[in-house]
Amino acid sequence: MRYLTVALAKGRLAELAMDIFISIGMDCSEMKEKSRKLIFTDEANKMKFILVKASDVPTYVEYGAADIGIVGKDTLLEENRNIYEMVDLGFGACSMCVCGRPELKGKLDEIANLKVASKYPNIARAYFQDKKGQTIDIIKLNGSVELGPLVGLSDVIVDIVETGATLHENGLDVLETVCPLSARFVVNKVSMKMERERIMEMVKAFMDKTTN
Amino acid sequence: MPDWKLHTPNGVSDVLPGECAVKKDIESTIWTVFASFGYKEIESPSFEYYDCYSSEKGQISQEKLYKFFDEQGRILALRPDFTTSIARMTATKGQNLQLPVRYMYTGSVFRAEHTEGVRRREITQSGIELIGSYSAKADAEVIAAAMEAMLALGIEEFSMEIGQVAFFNGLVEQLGLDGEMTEKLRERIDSKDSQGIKNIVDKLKIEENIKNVMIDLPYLFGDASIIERANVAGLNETSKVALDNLKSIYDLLTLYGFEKYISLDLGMLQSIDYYTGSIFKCYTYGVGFPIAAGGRYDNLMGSFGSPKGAVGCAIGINRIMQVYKGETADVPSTLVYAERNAEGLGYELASNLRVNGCLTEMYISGGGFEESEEYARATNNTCILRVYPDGRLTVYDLEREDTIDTTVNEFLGYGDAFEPEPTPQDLGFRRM
Repeated sequence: MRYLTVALAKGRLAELAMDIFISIGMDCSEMKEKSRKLIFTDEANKMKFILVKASDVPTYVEYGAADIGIVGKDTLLEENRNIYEMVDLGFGACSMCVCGRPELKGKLDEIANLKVASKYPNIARAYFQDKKGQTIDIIKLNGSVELGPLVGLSDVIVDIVETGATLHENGLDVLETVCPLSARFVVNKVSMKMERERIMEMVKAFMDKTTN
Repeated sequence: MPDWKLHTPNGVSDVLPGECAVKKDIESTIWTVFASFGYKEIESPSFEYYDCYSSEKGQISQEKLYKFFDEQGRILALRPDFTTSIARMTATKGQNLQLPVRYMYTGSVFRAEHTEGVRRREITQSGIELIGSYSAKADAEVIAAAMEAMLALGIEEFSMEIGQVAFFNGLVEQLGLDGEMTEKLRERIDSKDSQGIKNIVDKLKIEENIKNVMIDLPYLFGDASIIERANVAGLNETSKVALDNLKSIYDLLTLYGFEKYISLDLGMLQSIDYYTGSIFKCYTYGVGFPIAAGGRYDNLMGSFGSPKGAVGCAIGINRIMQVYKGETADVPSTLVYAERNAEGLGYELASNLRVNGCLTEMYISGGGFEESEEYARATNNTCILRVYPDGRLTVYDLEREDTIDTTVNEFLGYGDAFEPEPTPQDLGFRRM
């Protein structure tokens, strides 16, 4: 039997995903221990788990360096890779939103050259230009995006909103919702065909675990 | 600023001797297989008018074409595939051909991939096109030829996935979906995202049966039983014909003995503007992308004014190279070291060996015999032939560490009747 490699987005998603892997009989004890290791092996089930940065998960899976990945829909939309998106895991639920000062609510369409700051330039572009037909200027930021409208760098931001607490503390509000987000179980297209039985078994197990 | 002249651009690379030998080995193996099926090799231009590739039904999107201008300002493009050119060629120059025609090709295609370096922009493909038949036997032949090529290459563990895009087209037809909606749905099905499909079809007022098939499409892959699963009540003619066609192809390939390599996938929906019927991809372990792909493209010939059924397949040589295990022999050669004034004799000796199929190198660098020996040992020369102007020859066998004194004539089997070749001095030349 060959090893199947799972790429997990570091952080909370990895932990939640691990719980499911454990519940379907995988041995993830190695991962539960605190260590700096990036690769973990379950010899009994011939599985390997690797911890990678969220935005790299689709890359590992597309190139076949990992057969399976657990990653947020936001990353999938932003990276737009050619992979199978088999299961909506439900956890990590949040939304991709356009946020800004409350007074802009309902007035976005009137701004001629809307300046949008985001960690997700592709999602922002797809939403404004393709879906709404509005030309915008995009400013790519890598963190603390909320600052954009506060210091006059941009009119609005496109970012993930979970509770909205950070937004409100900074005097911003959700203006429009782009799409709902949650964690996904993704699969490399070749792996799916070459290891159909093992992967489909896992897909079914994950579906059962997440619909309950 | 980096010194650009020392680097190759992103996505293209040099192919050095060892790698090149492997590549040529693969190409010739595939060539032999395709030729044995009766395919005739052709060449098409490396670039053509942009219009040739840019038709609506093009397989490669226009932003992936390398474009430039000719002296009249017309737009040209490097070929992104061979199929388009071969279709144009057959439509415009093949009026009186007995159908079907079988063509094969090997060469580079160019795609402006906007991505990191690993994705190649110059790709070598070997492929075949079978033009002039709508029969499932044509599809089965092309798929079989591709699989024979895999086996000939020593790739035993592969999977050939066959889909049928007309099944999906039939569903879309029936639902009366517009282009944008169709594209969204196609994308979700191709990503096997059943939740995404549900979100789209739940908003449509359609029969429950058809809706369920749509949602089930991502999982309609595996053995022939999926054809039964897809064959629900209420399908339209297009979808039914598509399923029958897929069944015929599957049955033929089973009769040909390929059952263990093939599986079906009705959710495989790439390039559906281009492909009109069967679509297939070949996968193996160790390569994250298909190693071969193809399908039926019945509309393409029509776009060049000569409607005909056609099906083809291309094998990605660069991807095969990642898994190819075949041995490429590094054939040893013989080094000829000619003493001063024995150059003509040395060349004649080398020519004789070459005619007899021996790889023969002439020692051309400076220095004396000792340097030539060093050179021979550092390269794959297993023997040095030291030629003297009077016809004497010393054979240095570097493998057995043995030396034999003989003459050129004796060595070549001419017997003793040897007259030394006249030197320039004999002919009256004088040194300046």
